Amino acid sequence: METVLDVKNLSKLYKNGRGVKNISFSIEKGDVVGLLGPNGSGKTTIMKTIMGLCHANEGCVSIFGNDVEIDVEKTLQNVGGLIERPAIYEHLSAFDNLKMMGRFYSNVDEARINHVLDVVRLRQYGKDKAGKFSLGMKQRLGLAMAILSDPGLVILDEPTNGLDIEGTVEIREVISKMAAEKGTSFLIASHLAFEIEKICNKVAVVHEGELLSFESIEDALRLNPSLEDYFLSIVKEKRGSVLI
Amino acid sequence: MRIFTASLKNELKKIISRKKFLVFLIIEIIICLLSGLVQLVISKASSGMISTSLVFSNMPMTMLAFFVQIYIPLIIFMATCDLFSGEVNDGTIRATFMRPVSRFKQYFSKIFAILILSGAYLLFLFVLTTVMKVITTNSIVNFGQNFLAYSLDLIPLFILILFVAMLNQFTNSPSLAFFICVIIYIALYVIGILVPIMSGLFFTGYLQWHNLFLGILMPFKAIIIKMGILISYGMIFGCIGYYLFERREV
Repeated sequence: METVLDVKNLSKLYKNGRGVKNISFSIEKGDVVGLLGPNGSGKTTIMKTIMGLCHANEGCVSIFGNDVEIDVEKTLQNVGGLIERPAIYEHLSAFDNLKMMGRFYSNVDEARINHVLDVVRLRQYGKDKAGKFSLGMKQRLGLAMAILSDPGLVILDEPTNGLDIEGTVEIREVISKMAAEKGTSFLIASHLAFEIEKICNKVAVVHEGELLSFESIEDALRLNPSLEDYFLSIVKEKRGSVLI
Repeated sequence: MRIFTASLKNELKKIISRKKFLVFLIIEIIICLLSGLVQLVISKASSGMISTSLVFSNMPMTMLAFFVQIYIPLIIFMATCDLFSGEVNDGTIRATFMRPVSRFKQYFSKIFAILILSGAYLLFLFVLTTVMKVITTNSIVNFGQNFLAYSLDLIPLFILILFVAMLNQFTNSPSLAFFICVIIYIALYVIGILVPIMSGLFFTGYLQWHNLFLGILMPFKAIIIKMGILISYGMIFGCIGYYLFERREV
């Protein structure tokens, strides 16, 4: 299997001492990996460092064999991301937002922009200013921006944040379809275990800046009735070892 | 080059889509018309002692002095704060940081977009004042010289943009960045007036760059020294600003 993302001994510590330490994992083609952890555990920091938004203190990140710190243009050519809240220019229309981002890719034209707007069900609002969108619509536009160039790796931080039930199901369908049909790999951060259980085939548990486990959902559920129980058992195990 | 052009187009799009820059263009027209009106009134009041054609023949240059030192710097402060600290503040900078474009290209495409904006305001001012001059004097004397003066004044404005962009890297708040830019600019400008010997050391003293080349010619050596000072300022501001932008975490 082709390795899409390879994270090795990644450490990123902020001035307040928080951050992530010694994170290592890899994602293969077609994998949908969930980063599961409570708020403030370091999920977003891992994603930001992978995307080059933060600079790692130690370790390295390789995407399709390229290092983001060395050649950002080559590395991010095949990556899309939605981290924290969607980065949208509110005084521009949804279409213009996508058009602006599409200029950096050779495979994005007007037809592709319209297709992506169709995928996230925003086609009819394409000419409306993004500032007037609801939280859910902004999230959909953020997702559209992430998958605009049809990347091989998509990094999504809480992708269903602010979406209604229908929207959440649609996003899940989009992710599953892209992974199955195109072999797109996903790294999805969430603090909701059931969401990861539904979309992902692998799970990475992050807690207090450390990667506690990385395995397939199948293996995780072998000894636990749900991913939630799996998460709790892993965290309990860690806390126990600290107490001892 | 394709990526840089794409980034430049994006930055221009962001600027053009903000209505305030159109409003500033309208204000520019109003200032020119009001200035012309005042000069007409003065000419009439002096019963022809101050001739209308004399006043209007020099209009492109008198307006240039005001715009290049006060009005366009204000627009530069605003545009730079929007494109740098403004984008960091509202998180939109991440939209481009996550794209396959190096921060070097992002930084300098923003700088060039603001330079193009400044150039557009200057060009518009030149056309407007020249039209007013032609209407009132029926002459296009000094057309080439005036155009050259306007073009030359873009050079110190470029250094000013680099300076403001550098200042913007120290804060995430666009309003604070704007305030700091205005205060520092006023301070440098006032020091340059109160202590004339210092004005040659500050880049703000070179905003009317055309004075070095047009009219009474300065010695070649003095021009070279002043060019050296301005280029040095540009290199320092450009390097520090880019370094801080490159290391920025959002």
